[in-house]
Amino acid sequence: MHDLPQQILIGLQLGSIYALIALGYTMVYGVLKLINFAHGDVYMVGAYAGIGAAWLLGTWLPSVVHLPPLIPSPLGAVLVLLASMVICGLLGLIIEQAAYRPLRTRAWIAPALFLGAAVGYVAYGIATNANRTPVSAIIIGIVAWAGLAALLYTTQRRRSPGSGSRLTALITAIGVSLFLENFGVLPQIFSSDPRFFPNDPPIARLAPNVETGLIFTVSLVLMIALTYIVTRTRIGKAIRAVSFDSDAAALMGINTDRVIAFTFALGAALAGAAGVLVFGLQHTKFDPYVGILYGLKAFVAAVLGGIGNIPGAVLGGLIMGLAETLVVAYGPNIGIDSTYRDAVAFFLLILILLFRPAGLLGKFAPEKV
Amino acid sequence: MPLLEVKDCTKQFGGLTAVNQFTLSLESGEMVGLIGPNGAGKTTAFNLLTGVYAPTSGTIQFCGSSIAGHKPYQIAAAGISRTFQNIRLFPALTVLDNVRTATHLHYQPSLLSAIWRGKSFTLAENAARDEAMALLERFGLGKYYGDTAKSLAYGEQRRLEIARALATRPKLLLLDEPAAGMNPQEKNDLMEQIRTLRDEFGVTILLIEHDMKVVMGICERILVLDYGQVIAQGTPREIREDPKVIEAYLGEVDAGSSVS
Amino acid sequence: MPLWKRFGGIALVFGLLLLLDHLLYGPSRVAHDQYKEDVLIRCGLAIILAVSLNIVNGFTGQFSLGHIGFYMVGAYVGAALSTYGHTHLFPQLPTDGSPVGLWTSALPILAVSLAGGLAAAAIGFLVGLPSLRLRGDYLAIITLGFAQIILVIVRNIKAVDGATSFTGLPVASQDQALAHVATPHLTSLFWVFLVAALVIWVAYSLRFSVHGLAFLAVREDEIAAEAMGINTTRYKVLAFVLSAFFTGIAGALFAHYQSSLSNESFRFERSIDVVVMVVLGGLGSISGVTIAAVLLTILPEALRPIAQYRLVVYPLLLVILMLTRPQGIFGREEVSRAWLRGQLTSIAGWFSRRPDRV
Repeated sequence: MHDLPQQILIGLQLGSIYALIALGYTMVYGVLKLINFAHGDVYMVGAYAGIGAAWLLGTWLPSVVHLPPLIPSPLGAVLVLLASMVICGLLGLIIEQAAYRPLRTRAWIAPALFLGAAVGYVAYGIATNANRTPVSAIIIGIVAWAGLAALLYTTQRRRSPGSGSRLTALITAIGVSLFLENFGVLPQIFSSDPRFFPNDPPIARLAPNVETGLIFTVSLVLMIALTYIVTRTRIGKAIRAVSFDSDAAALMGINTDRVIAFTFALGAALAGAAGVLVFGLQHTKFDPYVGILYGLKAFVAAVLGGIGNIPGAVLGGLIMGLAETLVVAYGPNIGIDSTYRDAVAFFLLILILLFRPAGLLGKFAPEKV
Repeated sequence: MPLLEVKDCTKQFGGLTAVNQFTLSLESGEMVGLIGPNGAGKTTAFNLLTGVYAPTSGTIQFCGSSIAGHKPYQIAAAGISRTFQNIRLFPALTVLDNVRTATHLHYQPSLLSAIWRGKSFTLAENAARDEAMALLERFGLGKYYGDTAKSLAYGEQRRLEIARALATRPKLLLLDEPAAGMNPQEKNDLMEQIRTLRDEFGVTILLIEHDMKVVMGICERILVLDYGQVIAQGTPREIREDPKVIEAYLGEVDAGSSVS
Repeated sequence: MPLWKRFGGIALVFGLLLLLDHLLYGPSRVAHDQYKEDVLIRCGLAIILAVSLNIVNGFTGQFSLGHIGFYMVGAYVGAALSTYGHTHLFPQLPTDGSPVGLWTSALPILAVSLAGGLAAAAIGFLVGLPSLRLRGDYLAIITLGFAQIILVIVRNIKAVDGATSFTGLPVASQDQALAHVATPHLTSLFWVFLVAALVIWVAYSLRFSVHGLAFLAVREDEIAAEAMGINTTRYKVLAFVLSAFFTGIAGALFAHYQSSLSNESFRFERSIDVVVMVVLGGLGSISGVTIAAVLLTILPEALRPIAQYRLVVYPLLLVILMLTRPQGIFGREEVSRAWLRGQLTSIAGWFSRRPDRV
């Protein structure tokens, strides 16, 4: 159908995106032994953040400053990318502080603040729908916020640190993921209408091959940057230490909470970048649910390479991208319909979990009896 | 025929040889101790005997048939039971239920009868419960039968683990550091209890222990392990004075000193 | 249990359900509200799903996220049987999907339920055997993966119009009157709650027997359980297959309640709905998950104003629940006076001034 080199390029490009997202999964699993279900949704937010930044730079700013787009296209695109990375990094940080950290520690301020805000907003929204006046709706929202804050304060106070089980964390992650998706779908937030990055600067359409090459190159640059951070900086060393043995790391004086927060932010930033790269450069449509499938597949890629293993995530991502592309391109020749495209990921998942659960590059740590 | 016959059993984990040419012969009714410095491979030996690991080479014969490589539940059914170095009770279950789970081996009503609850099922359940209760009483835990296992004091938890192991009606009981973390009074009580176990339950006992007083006090025969190998075997007195044993524990010492 | 007690109990349940059926569908038609019936049937199905999932996730501690796959298998197999088997097996059933009376539906429902349940159980066995080697997160993920694969496979089966909606079977036959055979509407409150009662009975009986102890032991400490003679693999697979069986039956019941089966009903999110019920009710508590199932089915209906926010409230509640009360309402215990006393004591403890010491 298409020539092989072309397909391989496409596969690598897809794979590099999977790798970027997979890195977030694998790093978080390394330090927390938690599968962050919400990670795919951070990728989704990245796309929306990108659109917002693009609008800001390309439409709003020129209209305010009354000059032609004073930020040339390549620079503008980079700014959009960075903006998305920063926003998503912050989001990752917030999620960690508000939902995951309180499970391990007695922290109550962050969850009370952010979860409370969410509850308050929902209460306000429900009150509005129930035809309350705007003022009373706001008051209801604030009361709900305060109520939750009080509840969290009392329950967190009596928590014995380290008492959260992994199952609890897993369910919490699922909850955060569903929340992000369904919150985004609300008409006043992102709504479920599909969106496209506009064709204007700073992110205008480019030739397909240029796009593919660009995605792959930028991903590569980001991954190299990450490798540098993880191997050459102090915080990177701390991340590796906590991944290896968090108790020992803590005993060595490493502030594990801070390391974990940073890891979340880092992974989330990469996911945000991926969101801009995929939807910004390719101008494909997206909606708040787009993170589910991509996230799941990227997660499979992380497991494929060995969850907790950074090079493994990259390897897994590339293999995944190639496999999926090749199945879609050549599958019909051997009777596999291209609608089975999504099943490729799950098929790979099951294969790897059955025959090599530690992943290609991972090490299985057996339980001590 | 010896009850347990282990010949040249070796266990390797990649490059590490945890247990090397382990040989042991146990007659029915014996009380044998297994000692050695930390990391000598004692618990690994237990894990080999109970099927947690399969030996890399060597044979293990129990009551005449090979058990090497069998699954732990099969070995338990054959008649070997154990306690664990770091207590492994069922923390959220009650004390009684902890022991009842082990009676499972000998009271196995079918699934359907569990749903139908016929007469045979009720009889079996009651008999199992009575047996479990009796074991609890025997170990002085009767009054805690309804409490959760994790609410028990440490020494009581250790006793509960032994009671649970005995509920499988084993022929061979492996005790992994039963006296760990106990104060001298508790240790004395434990020694008394283990001594009578053999006669009361007809079990052969193999025990890992670090406390020399306990080991010398109740074991008839002792094996010493160091770096995965048996370096000495004999009566308590012989072991006390064996220079190889002394060296393993204390490093090179002048002749004439002894391990006490 | 004395014989009279046992048979008396069964007779009582049957009698109550027959009374209910008579009231709703019988000639007197005391109360028939389509909407309320719909909610009640969904409650019943939720109970079956939650209690059977509890066997795996709650009793045995194996966290499965993919049970929606078994629901789907049961639904489609059941529907396929009743539509394809129409001419030879169920000629007495109407082909237009109109409701079928209680006695006429008895044998067909038994047949499709068993078919759906056994098919789901078989798939459960195939999925469970390799998956149950894995622990915790990995098991959750692999069951999710299997469920997705089942979804994709069913979508690609033309025989049941997997890609769109299965409304039954367009039959190109000589007899033009049989132009379309719809999935018969067999399900009614009677059958749903009969099965629910059955599942609860089985769950209770197993839980409070030596087999229940084996499940619990596997959950608490697999290595110790194995050392005490429990074949942990056997029990894990057993729990999985059993729960898949009942989930499949629920699927078959569901298929014969709807006029069409669309694969939209079987998305991964639906699996989460049941997981939330089990977690909210308390992993391991039969009465807890039953109450949670009913609550979580009725509540969205009762709170119409929040309809738009329902999908947001749900996960938010989940997160808050995990933070404040991860053991769910009942934890591992059943409803009982002792439980009530325990709750009152701990609430009283809230008002004491001393903070908990670590």
